[in-house]
Amino acid sequence: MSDATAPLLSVQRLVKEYRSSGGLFSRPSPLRAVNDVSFEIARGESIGLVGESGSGKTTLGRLILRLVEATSGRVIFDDVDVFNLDTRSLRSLRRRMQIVFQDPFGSLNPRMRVGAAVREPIAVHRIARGNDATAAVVRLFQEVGLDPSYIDRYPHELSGGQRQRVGIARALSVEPEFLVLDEPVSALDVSVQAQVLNLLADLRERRNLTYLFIAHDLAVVRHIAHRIVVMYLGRFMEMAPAASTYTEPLHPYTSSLLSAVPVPDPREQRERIVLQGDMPDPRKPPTGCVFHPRCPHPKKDQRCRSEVPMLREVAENRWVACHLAAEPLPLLSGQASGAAN
Amino acid sequence: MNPALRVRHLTTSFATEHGTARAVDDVSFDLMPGETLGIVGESGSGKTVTALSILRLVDKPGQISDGSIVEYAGKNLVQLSSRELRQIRGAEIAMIFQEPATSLNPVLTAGTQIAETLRAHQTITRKAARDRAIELLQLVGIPDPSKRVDDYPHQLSGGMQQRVMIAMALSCNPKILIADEPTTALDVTIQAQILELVTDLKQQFGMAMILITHDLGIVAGVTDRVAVMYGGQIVEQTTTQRLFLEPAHPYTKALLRAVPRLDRPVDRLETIPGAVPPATAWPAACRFHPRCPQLMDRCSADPPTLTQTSEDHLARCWLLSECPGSEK
Amino acid sequence: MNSTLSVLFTNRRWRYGLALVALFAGLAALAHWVAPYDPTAQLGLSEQWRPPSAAHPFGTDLYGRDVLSRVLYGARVSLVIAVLSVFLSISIGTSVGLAAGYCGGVVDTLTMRTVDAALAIPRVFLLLLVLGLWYGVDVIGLVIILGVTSWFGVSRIVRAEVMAVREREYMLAARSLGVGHGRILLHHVLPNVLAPVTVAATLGMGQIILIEAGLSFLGLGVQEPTASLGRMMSAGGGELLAAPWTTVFPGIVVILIVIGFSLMGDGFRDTLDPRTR
Repeated sequence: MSDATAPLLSVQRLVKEYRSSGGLFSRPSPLRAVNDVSFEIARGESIGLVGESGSGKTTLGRLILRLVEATSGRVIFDDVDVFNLDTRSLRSLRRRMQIVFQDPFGSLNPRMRVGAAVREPIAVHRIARGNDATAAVVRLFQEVGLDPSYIDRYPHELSGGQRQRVGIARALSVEPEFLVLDEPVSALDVSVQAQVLNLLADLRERRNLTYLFIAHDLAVVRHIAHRIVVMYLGRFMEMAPAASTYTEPLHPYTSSLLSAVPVPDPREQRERIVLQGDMPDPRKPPTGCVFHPRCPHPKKDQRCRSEVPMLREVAENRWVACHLAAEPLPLLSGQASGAAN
Repeated sequence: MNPALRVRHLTTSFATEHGTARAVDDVSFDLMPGETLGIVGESGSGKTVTALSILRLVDKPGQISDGSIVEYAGKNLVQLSSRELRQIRGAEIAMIFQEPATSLNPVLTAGTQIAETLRAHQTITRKAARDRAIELLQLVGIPDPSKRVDDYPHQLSGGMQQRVMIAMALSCNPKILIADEPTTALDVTIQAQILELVTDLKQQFGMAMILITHDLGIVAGVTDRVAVMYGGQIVEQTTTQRLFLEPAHPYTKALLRAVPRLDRPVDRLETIPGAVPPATAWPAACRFHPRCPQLMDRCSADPPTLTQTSEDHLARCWLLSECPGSEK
Repeated sequence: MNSTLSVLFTNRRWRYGLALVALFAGLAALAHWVAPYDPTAQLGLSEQWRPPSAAHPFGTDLYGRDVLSRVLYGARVSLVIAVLSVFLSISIGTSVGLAAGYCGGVVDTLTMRTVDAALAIPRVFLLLLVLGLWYGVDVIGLVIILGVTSWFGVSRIVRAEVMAVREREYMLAARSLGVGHGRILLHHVLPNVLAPVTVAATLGMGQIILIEAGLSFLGLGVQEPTASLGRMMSAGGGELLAAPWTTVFPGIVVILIVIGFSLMGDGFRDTLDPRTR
């Protein structure tokens, strides 16, 4: 283990390009799902990665775990170059970094009892065998708040929340240090979401885990993330400590996202920034700032259309990719009320 | 004023291997003209089946086993023949669904599908129907509608597909629009667009709307009145303002506290223990009692009835009839 | 596995199918003791072409042989051929399909183009060709020929299923947990393609029984005096109006056995998929 100040995970200029074969009459156009992304995660830190569909957030999570091969760039996990490992070393690295998927039903084998699903990695990595393995499964079930009597159930016999707890127990079975949580509560009912979010917060504390929490909703990661990264069309728009993201967003896209989340309080219905248009076709991204066609900033100009803004640090730990970062969009009424609390 | 829709004791049952499941159990509400009624609930609460029942779109093994649905002109939809019903569907009461991608026919252009709805209800030439389709696409904010009218669904984004669905729904100037989770499949920024559009069009067309959703944020922003459903029943029904300011039912209260909120960060979310029960295994008596933080002996013994707690506020809970007003 | 079996028994179709198949398989297995006569014994001129009677419930054939006894022995031969060749074809087809679907790329292209080519040749032609070269084939030879020429369809079914399963998130989950390829194939892929394989296998049983009958009719299958159901049906075909019992009884048995396998297949499919329980 290296010194405490070094980041646990360092992502350097990561790019993932999908080459489509193109149609019969159209030229193949590559799709950059993740476009030159760099960041670091400190040990014990929890990062919220927020973006809409097509932003590349899921691909980024999978690239880091090398479930998808990157086109270029590097991922360094605790001094290990993840992309430079042979099959054996990669497999042992898998013990240290794990993933929880969005769809707990799809990510569990329907023909495998949930106890066996949690036990499988324990057997594969020879962590325990026989009764010890069974005891480990029982402990994991208890830790994630599942009745151990469910061990012999099939996934379809459990509720959505219970299935997601199985998914979490399975990820924890190899005792990882780092977890990618890919929209772990998006498929769950509101009343169950909170249970799972609290469980994840508890586990992080108890096991000193490091999280990359992927979400499409800024509200969900609010109470779990130390830092928030906002992604759009494969690029980072903003990366800043959570407190400042929610109260003083620097990027107009962040402001728009915050504004778009419906607030469950009829007294605080505010003027919204409603973004016009759709997310552009990622095969034909806009020139300059990828957000410029939808950007609500009143001062956007020619530069936004022609020059790609670099992600730069405009204040301590606050990074933004916007030419107009010096004059961020003000938050409209109602949104800032969180700051007062 | 006559309600646009008066639903009384609506009960929809499904025959399953494990017996009859009442997915919707004795649901009653009024929808006033021009009003937006939110029906909010989690998966399996019966909110979607309620919506489908109104247009009698519930397929076997499900069927409406009791109740009446009377529209503004006095017709009881439950008793109409399928011919009469077809004249109402799409023309007087229209519906939009959660998944625009699967609700649109992939092999027909957007324009053809809108024209089809028009021609089903009006005698109108092909040309006129097409022109009207373009008008409607313009109305729902599709750029360059005269070109997009010939697009197939897969050529449109999710948000655009939902706009086409809305155009189809509005094609015959319905009096009532039922929107079943219209934005759940969409991204937040697109959701904001669609909600704005639907609210605008509702005003413009003078429609009444039933908005089915699981998102309390959408309820707060869009609706006038709300019915909260749990276990196939309405457990609370009141104005939107009052629901959020003075929720009466323990489920509503717990739900409001469990939602992660942008405007009120907390260290720890409050939770509701357990999971939403399926329609085949609803608890006896009060259906929320196994998860209720304010459980009393009576809750597991007798089913509570929907009682009036104050003006225009109904809730189904023993706490309220025992000592009214104590929950303020 | 015990629970799977007990659940199987609650499936009505599976039970009926099993009952049918077990009945004929049991009778066929015990033919030596159950059959009233030697199936090849010619009982004399006076016993030729007798309609069903108390002495000969299914009547006798042109050579004065007891049809019931021949049906029992014939069912044994037909069943053995069907079971063994289906087992062979399913084994080959599943292995090839798994390899093609899981490896993808060159392996997939090579195997599937081969299968396409093989499927383009009419099966009967293929069989005639092989049997023409291997005249007077015995039962084992027939099993090998039938098995080796009937796995192409199965491999395509399996490949398609594997391709679908491969995209499922639990495969990604298994990889992310460091599970090796062998274990993924055995624990995650195979159980999820078993249902269509079982269905293909049961349908295959019926098909093989019918193909064997057709080949026997052409004189290329099981050789006289050995009885197989197909052999008997084709031999009696010319006498259908004069002595229908020589054809109808083996025919009924073939139909019942095929129905039995189909019912079992359906039942299997229902129970193997835990979601439909």
